[in-house]
Amino acid sequence: MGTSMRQAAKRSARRVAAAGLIAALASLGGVLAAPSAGAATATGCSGAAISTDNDGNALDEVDVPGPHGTKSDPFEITSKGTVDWSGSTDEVIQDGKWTVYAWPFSFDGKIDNDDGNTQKSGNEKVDDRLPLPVPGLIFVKVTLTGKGGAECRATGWVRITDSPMSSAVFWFAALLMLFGFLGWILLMMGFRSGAAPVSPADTATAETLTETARLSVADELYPKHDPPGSTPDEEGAP
Amino acid sequence: MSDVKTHRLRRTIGGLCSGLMVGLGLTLMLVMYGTVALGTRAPFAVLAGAVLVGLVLGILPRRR
Repeated sequence: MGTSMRQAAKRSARRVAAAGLIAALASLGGVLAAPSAGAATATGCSGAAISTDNDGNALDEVDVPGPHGTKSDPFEITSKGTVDWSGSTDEVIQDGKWTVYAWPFSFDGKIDNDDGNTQKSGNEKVDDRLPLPVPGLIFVKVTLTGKGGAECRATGWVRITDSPMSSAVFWFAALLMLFGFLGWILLMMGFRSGAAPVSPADTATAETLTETARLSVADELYPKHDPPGSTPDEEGAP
Repeated sequence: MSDVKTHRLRRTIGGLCSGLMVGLGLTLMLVMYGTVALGTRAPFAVLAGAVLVGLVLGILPRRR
């Protein structure tokens, strides 16, 4: 009765654990299967950018808003390259702030624009803005806000084309995953090769053997001592 | 009895740590290979999922 209840409890615990595992994987699948949509868009402004590679050669160019700079056709840059940009706003943006949000990084600055210009251009070195050379596809959002509610918002997809293996972050991540998976394998091995079952008969046998061993040791240590329940030797026996 | 509890605790902590390691590694890999294409919440979901899987593996009763 007790054994069957224990087995039922174990089966129930396994089911709960399996259900948790499936739920976790399903939720992950749901998140991964629903990527955010993206395209190069701009509201309240427009602009263009030209990127150069590590050797200074022209690499890519994009107009925002425009057909390029989408998720499937991103604007390409390199971590050692540069980006020449120019832009114009529909309204004069003064005494405000600009923000470039490129997850996981974001950087910002102050807008003065005392002259009241609606056009501006500049040049940026990519590695001046990225604290780590992290290759990959990134969704970038640029926001300019000024006093009086003047605003410009632009979004687009950018790919940093360097090889992931050129980054120390990649190797650190690979090592972490390796040790983590090793941990999982060890846990699963422990799960699969548990100790053999101990039945009541086995326990009784073990107790008998322990008692026999204890008596044998007592005989060895104290030859003249008569353990309880034993028959004393006859005097003069060889 | 206390040995069994200690063993369970050790397995749970092992599951948590290995889940954290796998999750952090996957998260960094996602960042490297275009993370945000999957949404900014995806890395956190991956991290949480990996920790959960590690915990489940740690808590799962041993087969007898």
